[in-house]
Amino acid sequence: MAKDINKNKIDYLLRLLGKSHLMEEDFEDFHQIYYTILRTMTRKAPIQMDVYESETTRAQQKVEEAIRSIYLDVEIDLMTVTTTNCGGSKASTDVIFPPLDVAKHENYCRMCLSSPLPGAFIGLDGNQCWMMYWLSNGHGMLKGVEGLPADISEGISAKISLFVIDEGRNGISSGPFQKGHVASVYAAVLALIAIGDFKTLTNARKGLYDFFYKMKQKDGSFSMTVNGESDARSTYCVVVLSYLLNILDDKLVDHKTLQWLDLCQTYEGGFGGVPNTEAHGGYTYCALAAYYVLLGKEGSTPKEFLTSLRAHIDVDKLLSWLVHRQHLLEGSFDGRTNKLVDACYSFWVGACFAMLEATLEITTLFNRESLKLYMIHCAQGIEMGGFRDKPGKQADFYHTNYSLCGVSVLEHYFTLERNGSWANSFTTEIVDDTNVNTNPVNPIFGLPILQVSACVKYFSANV
Amino acid sequence: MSFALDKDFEDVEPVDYTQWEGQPCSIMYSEEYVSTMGILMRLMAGEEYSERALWLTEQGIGLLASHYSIWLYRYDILRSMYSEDEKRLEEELDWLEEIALANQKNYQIWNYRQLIIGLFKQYNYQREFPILAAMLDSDLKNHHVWTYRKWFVEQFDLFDNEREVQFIQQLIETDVRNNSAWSHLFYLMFEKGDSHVKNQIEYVKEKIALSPQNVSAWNYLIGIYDKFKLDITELKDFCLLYVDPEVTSSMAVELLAQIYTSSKETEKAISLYNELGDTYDPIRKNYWDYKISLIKA
Repeated sequence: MAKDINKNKIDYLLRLLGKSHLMEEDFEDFHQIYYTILRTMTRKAPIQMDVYESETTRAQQKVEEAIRSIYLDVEIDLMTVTTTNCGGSKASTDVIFPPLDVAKHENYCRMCLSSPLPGAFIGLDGNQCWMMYWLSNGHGMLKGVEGLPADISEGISAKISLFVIDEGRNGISSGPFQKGHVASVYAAVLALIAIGDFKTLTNARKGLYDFFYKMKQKDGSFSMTVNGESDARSTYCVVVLSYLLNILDDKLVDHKTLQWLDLCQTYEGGFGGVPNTEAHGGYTYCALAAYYVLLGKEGSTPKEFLTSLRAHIDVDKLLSWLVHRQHLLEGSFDGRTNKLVDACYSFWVGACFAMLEATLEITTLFNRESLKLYMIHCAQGIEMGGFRDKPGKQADFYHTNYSLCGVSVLEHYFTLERNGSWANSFTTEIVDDTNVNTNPVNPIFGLPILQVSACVKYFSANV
Repeated sequence: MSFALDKDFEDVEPVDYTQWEGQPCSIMYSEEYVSTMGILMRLMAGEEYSERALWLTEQGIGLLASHYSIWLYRYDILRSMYSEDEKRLEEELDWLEEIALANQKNYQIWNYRQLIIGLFKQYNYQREFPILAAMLDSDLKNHHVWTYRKWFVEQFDLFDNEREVQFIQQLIETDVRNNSAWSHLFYLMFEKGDSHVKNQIEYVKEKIALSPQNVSAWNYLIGIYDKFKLDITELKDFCLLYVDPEVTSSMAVELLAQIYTSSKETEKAISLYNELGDTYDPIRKNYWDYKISLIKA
């Protein structure tokens, strides 16, 4: 097995050095830290997993085997570099945390936007606006990359304009002749903000208010469409969209919406899609982000804001649930208790951390280095660029966007400095300025901070 | 009733899918897709509620089951033509079950199923058990199916339904780490009051014994204590079973640290949080340090 071969290689290298494992003096401080992290992750679990076996444990073991083998390879490379190039320097850092292949990801996003998609993509025919958001935003998250070529961004604007139904009064559809749908509106609006087209939105914003109002349910939640489902996701979409378009008022979203969201927090601490369902990373993100928008004017310091948040939800239980999403060996997050890791939760769960770190005024509440290892070595598409759920899967648009947003979360520390509303008040500091690949993301929206503030500025001036 | 695409829709001008070519993310549709959807989208735009339209929605769903517009259109057709015909609605549910089994990840189906069941004057809920069992048999943690199941329990007031409770407990017997099943059980047991508290605490403690590192079971236990505002210090001896002499559960250490925090034994709590960070649960070290900082503050 690959694992055994790796282990043999490591043992061999160590024997050459006459050591059972590398010692601190073999590294400069910086490298030592990461070597220790890697070893902690890949070595025997600190508590022996109990002997209980089931479908859950078998699926988990399979993923662990694949990922352990990847990390052992990294360890071998690291040791080879360290032992042959005494003094470490830049080389050994690059083994563990090579910069993302930004050029490849840029190419992936641009090519997928500009070339016709093969027939296999018919499955995404009802997600046309989503594809454009995922790719244009993924592109925009990459640091130091020029904006999309004009023909592509103009193409996105033109295509979305065709999907706007009755000037927004019946929403925006997500494919030719389809019905208006809140999630499609969300994807369309975010795609336009990602490319900086506020003009197309101006024409639809009044109509969209009417569309959202029609989706309002008695319990305070919002449905996706007439006769569609209503859950934390559809509710989040309406809340953030009405904020971004500056059409949020008490008639559209009132205290009942907050009360309904409160009911979605489960006994585990995370949020379910509707009250009394299983806590889930995606819905937890939606609910938490919605609070940041809806409690936007509460208090003038993070502490005061936190007090308002605590009036609605159990923040301590939420945080406890969130930290338990991170897996020791994989370094990455799962979306529910006893499920497998998936790169997309680097954003859904990671963004919750960004929000809470800023609010609790704590630098870091999760393990950024371990997550980074996963994103670089396990999630990054090797040949064509893009990102994937986990090893063994193909890169796709969805995972590419949310992975890049997730990488942005782990490459930055987040703080809140009240400037208007809380949702638009995030400031960031780079974690490691020798290795930064993304622009700072606004955790509430999954858009670059700069794009969000440009949008807010535009719609506060042009209403 | 069956129709032919090339004969029975001659009066319909198909939507022109070629107009989308060359735009960002344009899909190279297959001929079959374009010819079916072209007509279907035209009928939908014209709100035609007819047998042939109903037939065509079935073809469309066969090509792309995640096409939400088709489901909504099909519901409008069915409601307008058959809302009083429960025999036809039953057939619809039969058909829907086949589609569901063939499209495990699809969620439109479950919203649609709720809408159809909503058309019945009186619905025999027993018919839901086999399809839900079959769905969970192929994916024990299918989120859409579990969400539907929660709706089902609420809709038909099945909190004390023996069949429902037994089924869920059987799933937990099969896989004690199935968190979806635990979440559903929590709803069944505690939505209507505290009568199950005592027996469920015993039940979940037995399950923790089977797999001491199982977070699902610990969360269920702590969830009961939180919901009913019970005193967690009662759980001290239980935690110690998994901490002393050997640590077999980091969850037990964590709960014990919480217990010591609430009983103001701060030195003990801090030392446990340190052990979690240094030894038993190093990935969460930043969080354990944060917990220590809260105690010291």
